Amino acid sequence: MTGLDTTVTANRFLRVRRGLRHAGFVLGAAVLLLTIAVALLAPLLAPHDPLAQNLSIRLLPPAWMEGGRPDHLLGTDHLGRDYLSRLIYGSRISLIVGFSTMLISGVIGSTLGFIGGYFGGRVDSFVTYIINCRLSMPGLLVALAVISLVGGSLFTMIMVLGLLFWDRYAVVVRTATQQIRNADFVSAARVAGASAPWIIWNEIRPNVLHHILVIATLEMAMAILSEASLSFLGLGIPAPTPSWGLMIAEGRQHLFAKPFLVWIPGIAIFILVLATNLLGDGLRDLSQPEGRR
Amino acid sequence: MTRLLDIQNVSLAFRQRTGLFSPPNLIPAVRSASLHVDAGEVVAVVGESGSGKSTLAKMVLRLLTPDTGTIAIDGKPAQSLGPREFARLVQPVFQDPYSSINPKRTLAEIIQTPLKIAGGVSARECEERARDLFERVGLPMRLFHSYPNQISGGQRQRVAIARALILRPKLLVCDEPTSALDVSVQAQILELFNELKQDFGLTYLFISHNLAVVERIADRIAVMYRGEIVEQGATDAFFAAPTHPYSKMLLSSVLPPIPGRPLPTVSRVFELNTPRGSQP
Amino acid sequence: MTALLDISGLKVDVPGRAGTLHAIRGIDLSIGAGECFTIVGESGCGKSLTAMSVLGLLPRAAILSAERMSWKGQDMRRFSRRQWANLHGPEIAAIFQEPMTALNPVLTVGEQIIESFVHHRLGNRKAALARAGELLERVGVVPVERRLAQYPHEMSGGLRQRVMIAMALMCQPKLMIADEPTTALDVTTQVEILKLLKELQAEMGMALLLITHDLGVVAHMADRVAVMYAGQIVETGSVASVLTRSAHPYTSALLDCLPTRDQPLTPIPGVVPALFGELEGCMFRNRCRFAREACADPVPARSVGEGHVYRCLLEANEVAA
Repeated sequence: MTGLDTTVTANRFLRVRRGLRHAGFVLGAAVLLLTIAVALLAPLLAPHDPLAQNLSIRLLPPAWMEGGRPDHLLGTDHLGRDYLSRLIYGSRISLIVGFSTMLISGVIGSTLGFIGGYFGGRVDSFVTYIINCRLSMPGLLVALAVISLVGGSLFTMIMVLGLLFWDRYAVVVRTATQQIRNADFVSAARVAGASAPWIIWNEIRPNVLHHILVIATLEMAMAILSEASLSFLGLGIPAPTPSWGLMIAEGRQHLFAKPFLVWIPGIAIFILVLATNLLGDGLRDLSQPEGRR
Repeated sequence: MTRLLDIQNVSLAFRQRTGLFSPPNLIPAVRSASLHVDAGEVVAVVGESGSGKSTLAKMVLRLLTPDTGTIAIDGKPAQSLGPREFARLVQPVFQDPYSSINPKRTLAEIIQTPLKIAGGVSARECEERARDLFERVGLPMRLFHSYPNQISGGQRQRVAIARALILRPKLLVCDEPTSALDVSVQAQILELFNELKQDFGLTYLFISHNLAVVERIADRIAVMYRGEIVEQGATDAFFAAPTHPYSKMLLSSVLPPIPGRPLPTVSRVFELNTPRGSQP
Repeated sequence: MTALLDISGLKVDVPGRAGTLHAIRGIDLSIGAGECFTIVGESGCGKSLTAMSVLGLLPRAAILSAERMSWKGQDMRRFSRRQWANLHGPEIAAIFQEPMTALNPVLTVGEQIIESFVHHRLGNRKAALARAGELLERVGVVPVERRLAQYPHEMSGGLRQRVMIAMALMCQPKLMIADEPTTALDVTTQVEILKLLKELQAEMGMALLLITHDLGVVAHMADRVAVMYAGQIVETGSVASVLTRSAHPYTSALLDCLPTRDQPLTPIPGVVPALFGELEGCMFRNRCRFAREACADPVPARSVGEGHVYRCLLEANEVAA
């Protein structure tokens, strides 16, 4: 009993240490942070203008392959644009789409989940109905249809993905809220005269937050993949802007002669999505033993 | 003496849905219960699980609305009171110390919650009052900014009591506040309730399944069985001569720590609607 | 009296991030055939871990050591997994505080109750169901036919505990361990369950190791009692002797905690100490009104006679005075 104060700080310290010992969490966080840094510092890091064409050096292989040039480390594409620079700038698109979609769908889904889970009854039936409507739509196909109607741009893509992929948030937050709304501390707040939004924000949200975070990372990975897919199909980011999906699409014509055109952005997508998923799994593992009791 | 809580002929039945179109089953939880608590009094409601005692407490706390009957607090119908007005009159202490405080908030935040909701008090005064109560309920100050998972069940219950007191309510509704605790901790909490009653001029509606627990702190006892209050009376008179067979059974179920006695005989065949016992 | 279970110097350590928890710090106990022995103490005193040690069900991280630990003369410390499995059911059975978590929610009561009987090859399914029927009838879970087909959630807490008892009795154990079997129940139901346990014990000549925090339960059930505090037995002996002539201040403090009409409540101040690091002397000394400097040194066990032993520096009659 004597050293409880030290155990308080020790607990916090141990939690951080435990986080640092979780390999997946550390790896995922490191890769994601690195990608963010690259995206932010793109103008400083990119050796060339990602849009500058130079047809005389088109389809150069990476520097370590035969015929490669050291000033174009990852070679050039079919228009002679520096591949490394396009890759660096492309990370911006992936991250912007990932984060914005995650935010929009997170707000929509969590709000629906909180409302359905907290109020129950008819309100919950209505929320469940909306969730079911969403779940019965093939997400990516609807996105395809809408974007081909309105025309692709960064903004429409974010809005369409954000307005579509909130279902997982809603389902999980609703269930978690249902479990917590019957806790005595919620009753105590109600007796103290708290309004429903107050209770949801102050008493329930902190207990659901770790669920939301885990889904957020998974949804972000999902959005990055969707952006790549849509851009690959020519429905996402319009042509000159560097996007990893678009880079694969453009490299596809040269798949047999110059496979690196597809490999390089493909690996980039793979690593970023894997890292986000690792981060999400890590968050889930780390948030579980804590809290209860 | 003023009548702080007046429960008149209150009934509530739970609706159990059996199917989408079939009419709901009605399961009566409380049947025409009448009970009053005067200011400064401790009234205990005793009964087994399913007797409706917790449902009655929830109705007093306005967490459930009675189907029929009225509940008046401080002379006014409970439903007519605004949420903040109500909160300054009545506050709860619940049974499960693990569910009754938010695991993600510090103890300081938990205790201040009702005051924050009520508003009108500066953040500094909020914390000041929380600190005073923290000490008053017997918690060591160094735990003030700790989280609930760092303290024991008994300490959690002290936090819940401090939270209930921060608005200086007149009536505390305690729903089995010690039944999840060890006997030694139970004794500490019961003692605390006794002290706080004097210091804060509190009135208690105290729910329990164990007559031994309420024996020392209750002025009057009401026994509930299958949703009805089958007997109520002053504690002394009740313990001297309980009239309803269920009350007798409850009383004989208390096991004193005296070796060599046989276990009491309990049989649970009672006729309902037996005489209501002595109304004081 | 030949001891069924004979344990001496039992220790359980649980290594953890915050250091090693010395949960049980050298206890001796022996239980004879047909006897009711109770362990009483507050949560965290090690009483449940003692039961788990006897059942061989300690958490994986826990480290057990004992000078002697024998079941009918066999060394339990050397038991293989198979021997433990053979012990559970026909020799030792257990019931716990919360029957809901001990029962599988997706199997009917009937399926669960016959499981150990069939597993130990004491008979076929038909024989098992017949025995289950008899036992359910005996413990008052009627009508038997309907109850066997029910799921645990369809029953009240008292009924579930009766089912657990019937289940524990299926293989006619020599010792039943009951870990706080009535703590989650109403007082009225508690009396019924205790009564049932006592009757069954006499009928089947079974020993009962009852773990509780309620001295009222101890007084009505036990032949002998051990009072545990901070991983040690601080006082043990016959119930009559320990409860009426308690020699350890902790025992008498526990008695004073029980609400009675005539005397004011006197709660024990302070909390149970954390059992980390080097633990010397009497662990109750920081809450004890008789504490003195010598209490920090190792305290020897003293005898009052007739097996009544306590661990305190006070003379046997000093506490009551």
